[in-house]
Amino acid sequence: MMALIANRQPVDGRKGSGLGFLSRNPMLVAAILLLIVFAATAPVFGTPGNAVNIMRQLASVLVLGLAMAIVVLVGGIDLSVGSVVLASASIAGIALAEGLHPALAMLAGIGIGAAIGAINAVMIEGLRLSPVIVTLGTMIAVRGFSLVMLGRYNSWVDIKGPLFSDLARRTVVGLPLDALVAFLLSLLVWLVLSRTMLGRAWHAVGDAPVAARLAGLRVRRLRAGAYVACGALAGVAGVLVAARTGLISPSIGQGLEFFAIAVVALGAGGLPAGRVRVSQVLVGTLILMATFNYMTIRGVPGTWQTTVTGLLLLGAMVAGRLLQRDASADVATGEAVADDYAGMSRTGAGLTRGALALATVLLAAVFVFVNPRFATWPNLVALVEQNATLAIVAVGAMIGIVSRSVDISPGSVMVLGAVAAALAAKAGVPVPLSLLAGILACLAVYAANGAIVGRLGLDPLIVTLAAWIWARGLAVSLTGATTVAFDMGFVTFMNTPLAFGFTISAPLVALTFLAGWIIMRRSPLGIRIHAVGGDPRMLRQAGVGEGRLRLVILMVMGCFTAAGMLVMLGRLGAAAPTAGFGLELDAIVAVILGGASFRGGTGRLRDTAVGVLFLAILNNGLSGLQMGDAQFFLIKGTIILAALALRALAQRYFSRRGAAP
Amino acid sequence: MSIRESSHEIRMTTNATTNMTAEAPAAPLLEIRGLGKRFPGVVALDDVSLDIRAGEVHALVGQNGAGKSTVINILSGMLQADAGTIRLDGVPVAIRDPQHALALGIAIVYQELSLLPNLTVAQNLALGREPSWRGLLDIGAMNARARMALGRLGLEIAPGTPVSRLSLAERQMIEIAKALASNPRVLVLDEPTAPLGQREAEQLFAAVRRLRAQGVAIVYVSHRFAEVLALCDVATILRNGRKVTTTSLAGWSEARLTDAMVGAQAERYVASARTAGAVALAARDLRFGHRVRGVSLEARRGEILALTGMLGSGQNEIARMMGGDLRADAGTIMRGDRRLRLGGPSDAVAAGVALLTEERKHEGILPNRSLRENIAVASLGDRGGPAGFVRAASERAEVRRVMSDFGVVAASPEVPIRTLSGGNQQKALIARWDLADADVFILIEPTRGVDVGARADIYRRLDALARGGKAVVIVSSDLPEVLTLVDRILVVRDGVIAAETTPAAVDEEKLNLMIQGAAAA
Repeated sequence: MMALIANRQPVDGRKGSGLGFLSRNPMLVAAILLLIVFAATAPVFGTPGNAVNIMRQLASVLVLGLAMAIVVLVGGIDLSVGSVVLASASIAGIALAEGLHPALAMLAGIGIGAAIGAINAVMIEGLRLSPVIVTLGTMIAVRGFSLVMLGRYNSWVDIKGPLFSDLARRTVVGLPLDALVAFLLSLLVWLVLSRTMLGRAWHAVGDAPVAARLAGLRVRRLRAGAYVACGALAGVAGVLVAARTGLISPSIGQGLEFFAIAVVALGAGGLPAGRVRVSQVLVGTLILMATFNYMTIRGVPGTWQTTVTGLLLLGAMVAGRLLQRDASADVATGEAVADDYAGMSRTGAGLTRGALALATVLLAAVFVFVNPRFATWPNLVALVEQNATLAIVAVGAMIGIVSRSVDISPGSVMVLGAVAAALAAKAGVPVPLSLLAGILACLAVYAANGAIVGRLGLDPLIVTLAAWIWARGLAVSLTGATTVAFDMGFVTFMNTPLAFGFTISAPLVALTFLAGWIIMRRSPLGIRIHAVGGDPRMLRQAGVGEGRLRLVILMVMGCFTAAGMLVMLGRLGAAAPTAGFGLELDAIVAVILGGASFRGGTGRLRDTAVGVLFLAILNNGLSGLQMGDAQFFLIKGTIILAALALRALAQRYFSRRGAAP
Repeated sequence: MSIRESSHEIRMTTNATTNMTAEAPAAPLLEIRGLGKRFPGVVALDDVSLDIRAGEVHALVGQNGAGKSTVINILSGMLQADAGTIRLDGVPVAIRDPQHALALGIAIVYQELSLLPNLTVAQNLALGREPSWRGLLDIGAMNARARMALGRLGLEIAPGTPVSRLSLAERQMIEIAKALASNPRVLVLDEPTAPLGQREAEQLFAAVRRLRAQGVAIVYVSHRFAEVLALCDVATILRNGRKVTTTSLAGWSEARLTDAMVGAQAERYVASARTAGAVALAARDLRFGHRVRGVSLEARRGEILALTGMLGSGQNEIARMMGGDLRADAGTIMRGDRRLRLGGPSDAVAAGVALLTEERKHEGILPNRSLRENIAVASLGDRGGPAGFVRAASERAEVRRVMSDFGVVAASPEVPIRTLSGGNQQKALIARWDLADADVFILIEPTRGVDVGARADIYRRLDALARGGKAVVIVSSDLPEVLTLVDRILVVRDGVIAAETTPAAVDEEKLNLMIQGAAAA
């Protein structure tokens, strides 16, 4: 009897009044309230003409949101969609320039998207690497690839062709054609998700991957399919962007991955695996685009868009969590299954470690061979100086990965801190106090993240993802996207060679590693860092509060980021809002290449040091070849992905018997 | 027979110690009065009282579901009692949470290990109470503390050894050392010997006796009666959430304990009416690490086969290998004349083999999806329409049909399955595989977490499946279940099939002895 009564409750809710419907769709309520507030405070906002305006801007973001929704649904994430948009638009533009039929050009754009999706799928599902790392890698490699392609056409390609101009200019019953395409795609995706076997299987895989596997579903294949579908849809978005802008330039697609994630999170109140709906993507897109539109009407500079996106994303996740605290844990950001030395035989672990060291030596040998200046003392000094920031941040990243508090925000937070320091100095604040302001800015972001992670139990990865977006956005907004010079005295001090050509950066790096070693191996915190990464339940049994510990860990990581900020500010001599791009990937990759598991609990500082050395040699060697950003991103992204793939393969080969697949 | 004799000898020696400690009957350290706990649909504990004294090993004996774990969970602060009082040293206490229990001096060693394999022994023992010197970890003190705790149990393990390098038995001992680190007055051991071999178990007994001599009150939960008789002074026997008796174990035999535990059993259902047909699934010489060491068996159509054994004897791994979840190191699985190559569960499903594991919450249901989708998920392909669309009308009809066939009670097929009771979830999962037209049903602990009413219902459905010509294999440690439900019993011990019997040939006591064979021999 009791079970029967308990069963009836949700059904009552379902059949309940409109109130019940609204309480189950809080984000829709938020969207409506937002629209009312916007219309009330800006009369232009509510006009039909403005509605069409919003429609015009929304098409590509909506399609990208759909793409992201599919991978989030199966428990993954794809950070490469912005770069895929650039790749798709470039390929479509180049195809047009080469005289192909516009329809073929569009197919080429969609096809390249699907192909990149397939690469992601193979790396993530085939090699069982973390989707965050893989798609950060493809984000960089694909941007490089696209820029190289565009470079052959002097970086500017005009879009001229019948179909493309139709998309941009035609309207059907007042609706822009590209918006109509986006809505039709939404309908299609909705049909696939809710009415087909594939959609059913994707829901099952996202909701409970282990149960889905035992129910006979081919989980990895299904998830791989989701990445390909995501890539293809991102390719469609690229075609829409190409049509809308009419001119392909290197800046296309930058930051679009932020919008895609935000759109899903705004609609769904988080990134819940197995429970994302197309209607939520529509709501999220509406919120984001209406907000952008309102900002434009109120005269807010466009540089604030990213900041607002990141803050909305954070707000949506916090609100979503507060509203449904009982809901089962979401965000399976697809931890790799067996990617650490602990799961390997001892010889296997030794060989894999040796392989990384060997790869590092080989890489150095290649650079020595192609560039005679590589193996010189001044270059060695430059290598250390260039990568000092990376080395410092990598120690923080190591702590984050071991404690399962993966942080992808250090690059952005560092830039925000530098901007805060530079702006303070510019406003006449004494240099030491300005630096302190910068340090405090870094720590404040980490404290906020730590409080949210600790209090609400949200995945640190998702919270720092929001900071990755808004901190960078805020840096851009505050400076108006310009570089702000810093006090010469400090810069000179940081760049004065102390001994053997090394500046203070080198001892600072050594000091950071020492600090990392003390924290990990010689402090009570170190034991807890390992414990919380291994299994937080054990910690609770031992009477340690997980929330507070997470806050402490993030604050410690914040200190490393702040130290990295000081070194970066000193080296650059200015706060550049675009600096540190990709630093988070470098730092995480250094740790993962060094053999730490993305699942947490394991990792050695010396292995991380080798990983940092590998990346340092790569960075220095490539920059020594005097290549442009495009080639640099392409080659670096590819080598990083290749190194990760090799490591994953080695691990699979050596993994101990008996570990369930 | 030698089993009986040896256990008798052990008992004689322990009786001596019992008498010694019983000379001065001290006031109870822990006084439990009228403890009660209800769960939706189940009374887990009803008016249970017991006294636990310092320097005494107190056994808690009962079948699965008798209420032992509920008592432990209340003592550890994981659950709050609905009724009754607990007094510690005469002072009433309400145990709020595990930390509070520890602070009160009650430490629990659970069945599942709670050590972090990525930390060293000393680090595990220090977790949460790390000794520090000016903010730095005092490694010397940490190791010294660990050495002392290990020494108390007579262990010679270097404190710096990573736990991942230790054997299961060593980990179990570290687990006890960890519980001792807080200097508890009451130590609860929940099936501590389950993963241990005979020699390691002896080591553990020595440690327990040493602790008793040091004045610790020990609550000892075990299914192995020989060791209960050898080690414990007093036993409280629980049945269906009620206390049967608390008694000194002097003069008790395993047979008497079994009788007291089982009670006057309900009528025995004999599965004679089913007749076994052709072999549906055969395993030959399956091996999996050191857990399964060469197992061959045949599951026949029309019969229910049980694999039973002590926790961790390898029976779960055997089932998981046959269901494609684990990949066997060696051996073959035959489906008729065809050799199955199982790369994963999907291959087993394609061959008509269904596996339901004991982890229903994590490995069975899709918690947030509807009951309908949960039932349909394994047979989606059977109802595929044009362009991969699901034929919704036929799906709804068929789901309704199997729901009524299997007695799944729910307000609607559209409610999320997580809102159903455990029994209904389990019936829905069995219905899932019937709808998928599975031919071989492998179920691990099919009635774990299922209330009594649904239990009988599940037995009826499994019986109907077998009668309908399916092969049913269950893995169960619930002896009454094994004896009432199945046609043939395979006893798994240390990764091999140690004996084969039928419910008609044994009773619960005899089966229990067959299962424990190695431990008592």
